[in-house]
Amino acid sequence: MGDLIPLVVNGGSILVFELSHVKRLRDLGIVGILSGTLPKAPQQNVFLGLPLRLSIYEAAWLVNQSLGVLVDGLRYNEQVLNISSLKEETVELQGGVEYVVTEDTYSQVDDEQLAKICRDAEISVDALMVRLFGSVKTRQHLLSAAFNYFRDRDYYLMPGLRFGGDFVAYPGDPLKFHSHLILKVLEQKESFDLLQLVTSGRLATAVKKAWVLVGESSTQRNKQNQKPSLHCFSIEWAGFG
Amino acid sequence: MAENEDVVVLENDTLAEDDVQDWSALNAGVLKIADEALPKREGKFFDQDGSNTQMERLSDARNQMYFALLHIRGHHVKLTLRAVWCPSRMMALVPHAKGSFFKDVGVAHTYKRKKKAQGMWLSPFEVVYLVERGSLVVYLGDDSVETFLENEDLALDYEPLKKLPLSHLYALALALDLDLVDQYETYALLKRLGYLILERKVEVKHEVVPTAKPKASLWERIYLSLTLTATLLFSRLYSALYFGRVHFFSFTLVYQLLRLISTYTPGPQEMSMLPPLDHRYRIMFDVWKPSPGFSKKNPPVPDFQVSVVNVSRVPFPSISVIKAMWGQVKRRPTNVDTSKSSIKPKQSSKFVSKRDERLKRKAERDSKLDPAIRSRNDYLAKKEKLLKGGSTGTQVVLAAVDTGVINFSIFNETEFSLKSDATIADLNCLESRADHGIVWNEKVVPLNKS
Repeated sequence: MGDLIPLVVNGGSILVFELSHVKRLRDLGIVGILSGTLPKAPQQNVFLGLPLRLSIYEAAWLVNQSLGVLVDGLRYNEQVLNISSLKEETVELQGGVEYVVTEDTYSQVDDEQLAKICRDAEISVDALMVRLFGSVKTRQHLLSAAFNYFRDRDYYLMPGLRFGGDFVAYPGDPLKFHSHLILKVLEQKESFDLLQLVTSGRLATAVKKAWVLVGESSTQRNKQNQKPSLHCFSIEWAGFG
Repeated sequence: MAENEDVVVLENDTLAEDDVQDWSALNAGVLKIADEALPKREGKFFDQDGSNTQMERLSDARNQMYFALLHIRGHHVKLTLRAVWCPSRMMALVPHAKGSFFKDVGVAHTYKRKKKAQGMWLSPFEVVYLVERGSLVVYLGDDSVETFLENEDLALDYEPLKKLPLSHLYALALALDLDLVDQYETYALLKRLGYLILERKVEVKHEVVPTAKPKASLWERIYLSLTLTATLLFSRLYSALYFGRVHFFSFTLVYQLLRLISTYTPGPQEMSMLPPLDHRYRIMFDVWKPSPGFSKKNPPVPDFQVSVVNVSRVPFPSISVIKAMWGQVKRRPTNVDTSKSSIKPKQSSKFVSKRDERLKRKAERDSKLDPAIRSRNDYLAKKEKLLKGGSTGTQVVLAAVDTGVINFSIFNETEFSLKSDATIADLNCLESRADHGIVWNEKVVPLNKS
């Protein structure tokens, strides 16, 4: 239990504030999005810093693999506050210059106590799903299944907004690898028009990727909690003529 | 067009390849508290080849990134800026506000019994932004803060208060609503780009201006409609007699038949019919390009008005939603000439921006041209700007957020017929024409559906 990474839920977001956790997540193939201002270079948007923001699908995967635990931000921090020790307010850097600093998290917390707090402040994935999307969430379950499907095949996944898909899939860490696939998840009997086929296919090909349609195979699922089996089709713009 | 080029937010977000990041150069050089020079981008691999070299490069890149993340979040001790988070007010008080951050940040607090001190209330977005960039340290407030507001003490005693780390501050400030973190990320992105931002607190209500168009007299209208019907009847009879079917005498008639939507001319009457805006699309931020004369107490009309939505929960806005968003837009009074800026550029400044250089080069090129061609170019450029960038100045920016990735879209109100009063006045002063629109507009008898 002590090894679980606390995934802090604030409102609708899931955040990781500790660098050691970011490292562990990266080794697990969960990259998230660094979303905070980087104090070293605070006036630009190319390099961002902590906190690391995770999608609900990344978090659900971590929870399912017993690697992380979703915790309510306020309850978690209030309890950690009580057992933490305060660090010095200032830090001295090279040359003897003193700086007033803000820590990322409370420090020097006992592992066992932290695990207890995590249990106490835990939120289930389902509860968070309901909070975010309401009770009807077949699409979110399918997105989650698609995420797991590709993560289990060693793809690294990032949010798909940049390329108009649900996810963008990378063959390795996005830090050093170009992505291969733009994933579009379709529900059963969901249709898309030819125009979308052309625009998305062309866009994907123009940025040297394949557009991949992911859907549930037509065989009916017997039980609600059974894993849906997925079918994928990749589409590339041929550009004849 | 120069104005459009300033919209950095749009240029940042293209269909280009993913961000190729090389953190190593960020860490190179002397350790400074804030390093403005950005490293160049380094290549990425297309596929895993299983080689050690590749793995080494990756691990090196990761380590550089971790190293940059390890950097302290703080500022020089001589410039210490402190704030206290007040959970009951959901705001943070900066007991002694100093420094350059408060140009567009905070609401001033005047102490009743402290003449010399100047306090500042920060909103959740503002306090998180300043703490995250290392420019402010924040403490968890208790009852002593309320006492401090009323008493004569010049300094607040921070000793008994607990300093908040970033994680706890996020939980206190940004957890009440599902969308707060998305909104904060948009706020911070725009702040980092250098824009001036204020949160929109209240909805804009436009007074409905009654239409003051002079109406044609009754007799005139009857006469007009009679002649129209007569000509229509005549033409129908003519074609029926000679060809047995409807016949088109000109292309315009064909175009008119094909036209599904009539051209749109924005006017004051349009505003009164707007539906109320869906709360999810409400305008969150008023945004200004940086300007030295900006006053947060008395701000001018914003350059951009930004609404923030989460793509996983909110669909792309429909036309009626976009129109309702336009209804929430703060507008420039129409009779004020916006081209003349009231702020005079500093005379002593030797700095020439790229934009100024561009304008200067353009002016040089133009001076070699025939005046007639020059004025024609001006006219066409102006017209193109109106068509592309919106002819009414009514514009909203939609920030779509997908787990920390933000994409901006601008929705302009424009008219292909270019017929609204302001537009006609604008274009007529460059070149006088009966019709400026790009819609084929030959006066012919309208054709009934048949």
